[in-house]
Amino acid sequence: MASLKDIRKRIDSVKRTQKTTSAMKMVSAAKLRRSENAIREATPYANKLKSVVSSLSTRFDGKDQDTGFGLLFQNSGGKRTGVILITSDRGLCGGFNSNLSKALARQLADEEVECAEFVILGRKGNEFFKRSAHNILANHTGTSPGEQLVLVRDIVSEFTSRFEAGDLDQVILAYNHYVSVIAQVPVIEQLLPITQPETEIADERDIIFEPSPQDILETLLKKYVQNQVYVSWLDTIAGEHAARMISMDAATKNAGEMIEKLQLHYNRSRQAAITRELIEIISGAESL
Amino acid sequence: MANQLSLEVVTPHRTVLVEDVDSVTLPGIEGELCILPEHIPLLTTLDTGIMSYKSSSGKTLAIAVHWGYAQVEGNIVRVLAELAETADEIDIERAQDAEKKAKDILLTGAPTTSSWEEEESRQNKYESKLKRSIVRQKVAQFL
Repeated sequence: MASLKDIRKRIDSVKRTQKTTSAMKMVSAAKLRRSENAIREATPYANKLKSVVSSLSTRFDGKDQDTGFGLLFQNSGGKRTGVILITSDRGLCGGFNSNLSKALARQLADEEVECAEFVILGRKGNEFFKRSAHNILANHTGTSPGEQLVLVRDIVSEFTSRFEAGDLDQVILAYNHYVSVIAQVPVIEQLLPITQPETEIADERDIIFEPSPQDILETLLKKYVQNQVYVSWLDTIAGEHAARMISMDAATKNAGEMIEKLQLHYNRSRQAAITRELIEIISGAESL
Repeated sequence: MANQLSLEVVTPHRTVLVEDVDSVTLPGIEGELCILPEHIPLLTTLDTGIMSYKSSSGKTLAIAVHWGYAQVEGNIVRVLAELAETADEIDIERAQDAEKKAKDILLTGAPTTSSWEEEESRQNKYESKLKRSIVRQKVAQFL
């Protein structure tokens, strides 16, 4: 049986852990608010870009396949896959990263992709995939918010040019979609070839294009893909903080329960020790 | 109000402006263009330049935009810019410094690499930096 001193030590240690977890929860809550804001600010741009792309793409539906932009829609059906995986740098956020990584690994196995080429954002995804058969091209960690757009642009232009050159057959994007504070859903979607954004009606009105529609579309589509990755990254960051907030909240609660139990145990043993001593004294006095 | 344009300027980071305006002048890639209400639908790429608009109070205001798209549809003008700054957000001293630095490099700088492509992209980089800083200073004067 543990001595009184041991129990006291244990209680102190759990209390310290609790302090840490509740501080982490608070920090995550503050960060979550900031990253939610970033998503809110980025959404209008993403939506408008999407509506421009969808209204433009109906115009060229299937025609002029040989012009540059047609390539980005072309599905060659091969298995050479590029993957952009977005995870967090730090752990202690429940199954946030491992759920996504596992889902991705499963999907790749289903599609019988044996050696996909990975670009991983965040340390955790790298830890998961570095021992797999997949080829990790790059792992970016600790990216500050100001550098995100530039980094995304570089990664995407690398992948799009390789896709256009016929080096890759598809590019997949895997990230955690932030639904709400308590729900983050792993999302694995096809980035290239571009899936046509669903459109209401084909846009048949006369529109002036400056420069030619082809030129616009070519750059616009790349922007569109970049923006998709960027927004997903913001999504993941918000999700990370939410997940950490929830798991730290649970940890704080668990620590509280543990302290209560230990305290009870401590009080009982202290009482028992006192009783024992009293019995010893009394029986000693009686025997005299 | 039928004879007004609703102008939206957004960047990947934030919404810069949503306002009803009388007219908008855009720095199109093939030249400046002025949009008035009832304009025909248009989609254009934007260069780095000054986007000015006449607000309903009659004042002319400006925003520095750096590369993007503009879509005109009905009486809605959407500007999707890579970067957009209003006059009061611009740090004029920083822009002046940047202009000087870019000019120095472009005028005096000897090639830093032996490869043609790298040198060209370096030149382009500083040329666009120069252009941006000049546009920023011009926009700042609208304040």
